[in-house]
Amino acid sequence: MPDTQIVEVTDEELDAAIMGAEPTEEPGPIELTDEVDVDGNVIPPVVTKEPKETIDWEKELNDTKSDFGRKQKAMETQISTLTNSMSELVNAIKSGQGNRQQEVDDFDIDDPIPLTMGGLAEAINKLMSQKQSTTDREVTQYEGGYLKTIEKLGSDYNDKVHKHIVDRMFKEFNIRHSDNPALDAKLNFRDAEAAILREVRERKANPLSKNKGVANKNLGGATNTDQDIRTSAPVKFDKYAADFIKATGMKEEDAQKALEGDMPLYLRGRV
Amino acid sequence: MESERKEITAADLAAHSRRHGRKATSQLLEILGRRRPHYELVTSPGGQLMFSSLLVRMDELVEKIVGNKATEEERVEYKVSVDFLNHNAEIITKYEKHSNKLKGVE
Repeated sequence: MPDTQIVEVTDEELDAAIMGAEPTEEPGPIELTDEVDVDGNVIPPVVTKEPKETIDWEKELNDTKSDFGRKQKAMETQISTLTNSMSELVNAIKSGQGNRQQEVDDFDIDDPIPLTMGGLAEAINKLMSQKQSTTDREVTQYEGGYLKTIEKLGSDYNDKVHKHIVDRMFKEFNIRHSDNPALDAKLNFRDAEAAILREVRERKANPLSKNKGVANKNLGGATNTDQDIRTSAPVKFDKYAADFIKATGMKEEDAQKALEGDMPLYLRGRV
Repeated sequence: MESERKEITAADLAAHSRRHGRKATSQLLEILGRRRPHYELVTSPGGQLMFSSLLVRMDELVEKIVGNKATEEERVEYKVSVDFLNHNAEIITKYEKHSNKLKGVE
């Protein structure tokens, strides 16, 4: 560490310095003592060679340019981010402007502030009345558009079917999905239409439903009876037929069994 | 040959019933039963002998009629013989037709 040199200053010198006068005595040069090593030898001061100053102006210029380029790029990025943020902010403000405008419209800035309970009640009543009328107007407009769209949608059907669908729609599917009456009407009408068609399809008699499971034994026979005409009583032969069968050498029972085979489908119900 | 088979079997009845129905088969059996005595009589040796005698007699009558020597009674006899022959021939033909139908030979 370098040694500190204490310089003593007298009061006169301080006064003179304050008054702008020259000091009476010049302070002596600060003497620096040489450093001594452990053996007592004086260490010669290290003389550092100062490098010869050669400035590469071209390199300096390029470095400066690069530095400026980086700074410019950073600034541009920052500006771009800022601009985007501002745009988002502006959009958000614009989107909320309608509602705020509506809220602002509810009040008149020039109206005096009610200072009494009566005035406050009157102001509230007025506000409520305004809101109610606005709501009524919106409902009327919505209903008008809703009914008009329903009327248009029924052009594919005759009046009876259209009425049926509309009745079903008002009964089960009269739902307000949004503030768009045309869209809501279309959605609800189609829902009712689909429900009716689904029911009709399910109600429609399947002509093959009776053929499910066990085959109908009475196919081709009389309806509404479970009796199988093929398993009716054995054929009774008259006298001549019985005599003929006997003459051929057959037994009557054998002949009856021979006639008990399946009757052709095209003959069932005819003979 | 199937047509040469004489008697009808239960298999014939079953086959006919499957094709035409039991009622048609039983009706056919009734018709054959009604005609069978006549058919058997005509086709019996006695019937054959009777018809042979009739045919001989008819040949004589034909010769007289062609030679214009037949009396009126002989002409009537010939006419009756022809009708009798045709009637019996028709019975035999129809019987065999129904019989073949039942046998499935048509």
